[in-house]
Amino acid sequence: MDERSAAARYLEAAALLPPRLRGPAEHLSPGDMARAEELRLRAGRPMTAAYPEGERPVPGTEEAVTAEDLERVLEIATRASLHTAQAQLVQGFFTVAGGHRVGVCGTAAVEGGQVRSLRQFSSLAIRVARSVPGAAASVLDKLWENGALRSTLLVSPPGAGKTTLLRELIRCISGGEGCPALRVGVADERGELAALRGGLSQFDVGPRTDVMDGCPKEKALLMLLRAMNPQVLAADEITDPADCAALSLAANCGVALLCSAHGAGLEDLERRPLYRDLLERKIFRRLVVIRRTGESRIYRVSRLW
Amino acid sequence: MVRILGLILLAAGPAWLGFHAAARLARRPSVLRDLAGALEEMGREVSFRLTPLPEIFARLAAERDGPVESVFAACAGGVDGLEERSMGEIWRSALRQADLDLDARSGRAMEELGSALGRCGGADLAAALDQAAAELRAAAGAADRETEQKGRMDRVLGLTAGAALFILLW
Repeated sequence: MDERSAAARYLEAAALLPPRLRGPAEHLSPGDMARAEELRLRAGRPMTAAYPEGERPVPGTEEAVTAEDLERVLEIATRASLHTAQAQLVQGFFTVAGGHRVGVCGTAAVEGGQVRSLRQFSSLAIRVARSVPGAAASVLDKLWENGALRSTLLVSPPGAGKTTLLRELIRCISGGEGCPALRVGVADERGELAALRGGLSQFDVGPRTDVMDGCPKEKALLMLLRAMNPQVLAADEITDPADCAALSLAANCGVALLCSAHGAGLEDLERRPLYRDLLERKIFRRLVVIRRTGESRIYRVSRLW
Repeated sequence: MVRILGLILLAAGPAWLGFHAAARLARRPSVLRDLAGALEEMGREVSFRLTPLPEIFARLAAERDGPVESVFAACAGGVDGLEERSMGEIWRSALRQADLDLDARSGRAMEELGSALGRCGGADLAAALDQAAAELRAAAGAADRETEQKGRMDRVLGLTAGAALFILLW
């Protein structure tokens, strides 16, 4: 993605800010706009922008962010319909038009051990969604064996580029770029991979891609499997045992899987029961660990079995 | 002949004023009930269908008429400027522009509802809408009683004043 496109994506995310913060945020240098990964708002502190090297205050926003500012961001981001984002909000984030993610902290109202709602917001992180064409080039050919795509799990700590790499893999496989073209079904629960609006994907996810948007992953995977005859199923951030059960079922139907998970690497996954179970069931054959060094990313592909 | 016509016209003025005041009083309960009905519909849409507010506003503007239509039409249009004005400001401005003729208490309830629009989760928003609708229904009941008592008086006063003017000037 060139600097102009990257800055344009930043400006889309900055448009979620209330006027007093939006003005200064829109006056960063084009280079900074293109590099900024997040806008961070914390009640009682000045707004900052997060770059690969760390957070810096946004010039012109020295005055502390208020609770009203945070509420205004949510109001703008949900088009005055916070109630429609409630299900996502209780998980701590929601996705807005353009695929940008708004992470939320506040006081949780808990009932029966379940978070029912978040209120009295204290922090927001607006993550700028960007596609990175070419990001999959160094990885893609290592995911194939004997002419077949192998089920692959992408692993990295938060913010290292799992979603970007997954989206790029989907685009390449669906478009037959550097590999045979396959039909891809995407379970886009949080609307970050394709960012559908009015049925149209706002990110390029390829010509043979079918997207199930906003639906819990475990349901979406099975619906795609039954309805769309996919050759590949993709899902971002596997975190729930129900997701794993659906993946297990899909894997036994001859479909290749492309999924991502938070983690530092294989050892880290093996320590966590959810992923240990996935690994023991031999659902994935390839593991891609993403490491971030400054602005660049290193992709290490290993064979699991 | 011309004198009689002039006197009739002069006498008709107070009578028209009396009937107009009575008609305005009679209109209030129906506007209040229409608005309450719209808020109850909003509450159902928010609770059961999770419909976004802009969609609800547009639908209510199309379904209703009169001042209630203008409130929701102004909100539906105002949402496009959400980056500059909060939903609460858009709502209050829509209330001011529409000829709702609200009493102080229901006017306050409607203004307060603006603070909940766009900023509350489904349950809280539905509760705020229910509360505002209940206020409006109570105000409509009071307006019915007022119409019955004061409306008749307005009409009688208008007719009496017209007749008295006619006799005095004859």
